[in-house]
Amino acid sequence: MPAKKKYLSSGWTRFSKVMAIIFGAYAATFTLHIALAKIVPDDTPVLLTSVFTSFFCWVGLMVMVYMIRRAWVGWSVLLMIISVSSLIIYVT
Amino acid sequence: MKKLKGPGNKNYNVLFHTHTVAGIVISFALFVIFYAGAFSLFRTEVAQWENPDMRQPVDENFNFDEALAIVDETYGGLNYYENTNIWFPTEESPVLRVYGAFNKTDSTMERMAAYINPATLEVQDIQEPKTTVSDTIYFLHYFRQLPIIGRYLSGLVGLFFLFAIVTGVFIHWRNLLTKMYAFIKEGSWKSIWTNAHTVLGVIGLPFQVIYAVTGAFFGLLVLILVPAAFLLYGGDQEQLVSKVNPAAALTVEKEATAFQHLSLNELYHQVQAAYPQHTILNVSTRNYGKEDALAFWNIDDHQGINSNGSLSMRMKDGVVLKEYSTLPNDKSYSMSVIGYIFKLHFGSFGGYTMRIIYFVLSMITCFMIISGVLIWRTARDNKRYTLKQRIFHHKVTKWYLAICLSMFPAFALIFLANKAVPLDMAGRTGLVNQIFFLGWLAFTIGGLFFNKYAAQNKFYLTLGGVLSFLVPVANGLVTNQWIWDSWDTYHWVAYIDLFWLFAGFTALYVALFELKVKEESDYPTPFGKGDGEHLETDEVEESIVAEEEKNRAVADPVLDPQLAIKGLSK
Repeated sequence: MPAKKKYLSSGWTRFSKVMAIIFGAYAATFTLHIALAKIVPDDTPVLLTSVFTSFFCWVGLMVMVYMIRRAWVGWSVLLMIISVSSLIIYVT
Repeated sequence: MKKLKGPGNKNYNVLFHTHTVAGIVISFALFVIFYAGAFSLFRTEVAQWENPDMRQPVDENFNFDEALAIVDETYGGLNYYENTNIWFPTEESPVLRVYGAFNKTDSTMERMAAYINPATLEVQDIQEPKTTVSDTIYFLHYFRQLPIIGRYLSGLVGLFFLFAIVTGVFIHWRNLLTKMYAFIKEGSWKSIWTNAHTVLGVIGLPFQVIYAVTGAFFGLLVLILVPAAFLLYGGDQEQLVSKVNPAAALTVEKEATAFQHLSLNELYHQVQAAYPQHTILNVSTRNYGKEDALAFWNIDDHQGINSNGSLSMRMKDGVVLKEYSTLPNDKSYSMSVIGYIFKLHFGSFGGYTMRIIYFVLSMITCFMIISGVLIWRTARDNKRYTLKQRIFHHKVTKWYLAICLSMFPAFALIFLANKAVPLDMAGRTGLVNQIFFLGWLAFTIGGLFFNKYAAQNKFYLTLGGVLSFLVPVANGLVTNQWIWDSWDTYHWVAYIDLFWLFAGFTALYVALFELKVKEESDYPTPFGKGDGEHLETDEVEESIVAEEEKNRAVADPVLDPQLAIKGLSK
């Protein structure tokens, strides 16, 4: 049975979410991994493991964006991850 | 069996929708990737089938240095300061392949790739090959025929495949245990496709996750690893490279003096004696023929996930430099992790058994993609949709099935074209590619004339079955090596012929005896009064739900234990 329409978003929300899962989730994944690599003493294993974990993280964030009803809430979670990670990258 | 607690109603519907949309968008690209990828697992073996140069016994006394000298001469002097990579003869590929660089003029350098035939000592440029079955299929696997974007496109398909897998598991979670063994052929078509889709999805889950992640890595490497390495190490990326591959720290002098170091044959036998269980894949050399010449021997036993390695040595003494080598099963984490991706993606562990399992699982995944599209269509063939919408769903399904199912006859066609086009004809690889792609297009268009999916399927199975039968015949007629001849000499040539015989037999058997084409067309017709107004009233909803409940009652093993037992015994 196809999904019930009343639960689905439409129009701009839908477009915003598609942008969020591609660009927002990618940027969040990327900065999160770099920040993690900066914190730990040896960054190489983190960087190399990211070839596996990046995709899981990216897809996990995609699912998260869709589970949050409002697009802007999803965006703010992503932006929060990006800014906190960026701060860590900048400071360390 | 206990039902698991799944996501709530809202999340269930949202994830269901994203699963459907992501699945439909990537479906036929994913099918092409999996179908071409399954055949690419046996790339070297197919190359032996297609190219007569590869059909000769391995020459045990072949002098590698002399062969290299001939290649060197052909290209007017190789630039040995650059990396020169030499792949050794194997049973499936008994030629010596050389990947190096040569000075085109005094100031410009170009990469070269060639193989030398041990029997005739003829040098063949690999970039302008004689034959192109395995290459065309392999390039199709990651859309290399599409310039620039092809690779990224395949990477994105991999990423959204992972997304579809994760959302699929979420949706199916509630039924994960109860429908673990729902091998059921009863019920409405929608429940048959759904059961097939979910059961095979669960069986293939680990494999599909592996392929989604490693495939996305190969396509999107440039998004993940490259900018990260740049950000962390700035311009100095060698810092990273030396941790992954310690051999990178070894250098050679551009102005080194010429020197008679140990021969490749001597060192080859020395490495082989040290690792008798391993195959020596290739040696990567720098400054060959100079005093400080380096050799990096890549070895693999094709069994373990971490059993490949690289031995570094100076060619003048042949002593393995342990601190610059990555030894089999004795590597640091950083040295192993990228290697895992290659091993997992190409199935180069667990011997041939693993590659055969990979092949079968790839085909199962192809079936899952098709069944997913058919669920999409049958779930929309009801009163909730207008006639116009239903006709659109039908047409999309028809196109998808035509593109995907026509790959079977098209692949048989490229094998046939390889034998039909004479070997000495100029521009033959271009012609073979044209036959393949135009043939695929023609088969796709041919399938669009059917409005019954079963009839369409029957058309492709019959066509593909007949073409498959012709493949071993064409091989026998052209090369004069029939299955019974190649059985004892070139096993894989015989296995590939047998594969096509088996495929042809199965396809024709199913098409002629098993597949039943029903009377009525799949083209949507009006349901009668009130149709076409896009009704979403409670009444329509209730009637559809009631019908679906009825169908489910027939096909649900939880509701009907007898059926469950029947399903298990099948």
